[in-house]
Amino acid sequence: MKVLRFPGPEGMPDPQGIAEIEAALHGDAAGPSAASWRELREDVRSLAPPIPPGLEARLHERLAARTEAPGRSWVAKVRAWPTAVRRHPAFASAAISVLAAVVALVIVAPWDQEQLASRSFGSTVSVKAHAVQAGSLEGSSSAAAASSTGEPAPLSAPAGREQQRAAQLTLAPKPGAVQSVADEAMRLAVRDGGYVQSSQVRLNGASGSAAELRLSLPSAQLSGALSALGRLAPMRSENQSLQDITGEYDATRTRLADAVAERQALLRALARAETPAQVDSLRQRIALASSAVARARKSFQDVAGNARNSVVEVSVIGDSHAGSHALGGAWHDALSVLRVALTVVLIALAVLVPLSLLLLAGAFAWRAARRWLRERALS
Amino acid sequence: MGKRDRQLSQEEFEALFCECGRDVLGYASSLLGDRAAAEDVTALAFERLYRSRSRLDRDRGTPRAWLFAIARNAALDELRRRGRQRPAEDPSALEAATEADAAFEHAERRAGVLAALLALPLREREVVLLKFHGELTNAELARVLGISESNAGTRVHRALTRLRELGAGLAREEVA
Repeated sequence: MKVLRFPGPEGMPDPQGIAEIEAALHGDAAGPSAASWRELREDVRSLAPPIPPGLEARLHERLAARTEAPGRSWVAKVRAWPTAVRRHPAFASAAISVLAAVVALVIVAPWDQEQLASRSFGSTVSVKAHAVQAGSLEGSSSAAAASSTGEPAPLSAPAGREQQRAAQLTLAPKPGAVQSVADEAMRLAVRDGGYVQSSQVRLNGASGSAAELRLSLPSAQLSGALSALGRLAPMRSENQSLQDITGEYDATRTRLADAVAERQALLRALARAETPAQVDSLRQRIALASSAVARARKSFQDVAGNARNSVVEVSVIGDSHAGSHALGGAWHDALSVLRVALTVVLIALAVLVPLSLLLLAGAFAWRAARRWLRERALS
Repeated sequence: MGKRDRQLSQEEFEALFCECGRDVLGYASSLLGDRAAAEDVTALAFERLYRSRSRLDRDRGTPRAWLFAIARNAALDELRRRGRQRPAEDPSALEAATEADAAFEHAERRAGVLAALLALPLREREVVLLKFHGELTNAELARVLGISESNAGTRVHRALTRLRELGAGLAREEVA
């Protein structure tokens, strides 16, 4: 077996020798050996050529040119970052936080829109995606035209679908505020283009004050109206419902079209009638057909109205503890805000941490590569 | 110590140039073996020092050590730029040494030192030059070279011992 000898202490300089040289060169040691090291140093140092007269002037010129330059190069600016961060930690932290928030918001924004969409699906308006052939319905354009008012839908229903929406709200103001809340709710309904279908306000002093309102609101305004109503008083409950009425809508429309077509056919037959008996018979049938058209039109208008307008039932119940509910709501809102902030921070961290690690690794690699290349120049 | 106190002031920069200019030039000149390139490196080192004076961290070393770290990087970049050629012996440096002192004996002695220095491997020569021209402690040298302090001490010891041996050997050859 071949034994490889481990490099012995003779391969390494004596630590005492190292210390002696260091002490000698710093003038901390005396004696011939120390003097000889210092002499060697002076000999080497004396090899340095004198500073040429032009060098200082050249340096000043370069510095002046650098100072007069409009701005530092981006490399210099990037190099100055670590120092700037070390010198102004608060500023750096603020800048990083702002950056993180912006990045997080950019990432969160689309997601939040989806959330918004899914949360407020019940308050979206149904705008007819297909044109109602109002003109072909013998001028009975009122329902069809009204249902396709061209109002922009915040979040439209699926194409070709008609939806009926409804909402129930329970507001709990202080007993003394029931009347004013009810009034304000009705005022909001009118302001948004709706009307009050029914209202019932009962004021019984400190306890038992309540109001029941049935509001009809344009579906296009439902979302905003619900938000506005919710701000009137602490909301105890909110229910929203949606029902697809496309089948019913199409059926009533078809019935109307058929009735109109039948009446037109009878009118044409009346124009061709030759005998009084025929005329009388056709007139009776036309009267019946007109009644059918009126009924069909009424049905169609009702269904279209259901799609166009949403019914909002508002219950206003006097609650002597409304203040504490408001506090609870505020606490709930604060928690929600904190949750959102935490989400934003987490997402920002999820982006920034790997990015920072990547940049850090890149910077280390770049520095190591540069050092290695420089050291290679000495080999 | 405030931020302003930690920075290198204009006066300190001027003083540093007066104090260390020749040392930096000597270091670069002996390392590169080219007077013109050494002057460029010296100017570049001071220029970089001036640009980075606001980043000077006195806790991590003296301005002199900082300057020599910059000068070393500039000199190595210059060496690399020139295709990693081993620098030729610089007769101008020898001439300067000869002209600098009238005494022939001293001139002869320095010529011997120069010859020994040029005979050293580049890596060891650099350590000697940084140690002598830069007057760096082993700790500062370690920081400049990116190695441990004990490793720096070892390199200094080896390089200086070898320089001394080479000087003695060259002297014996001359006598023979």
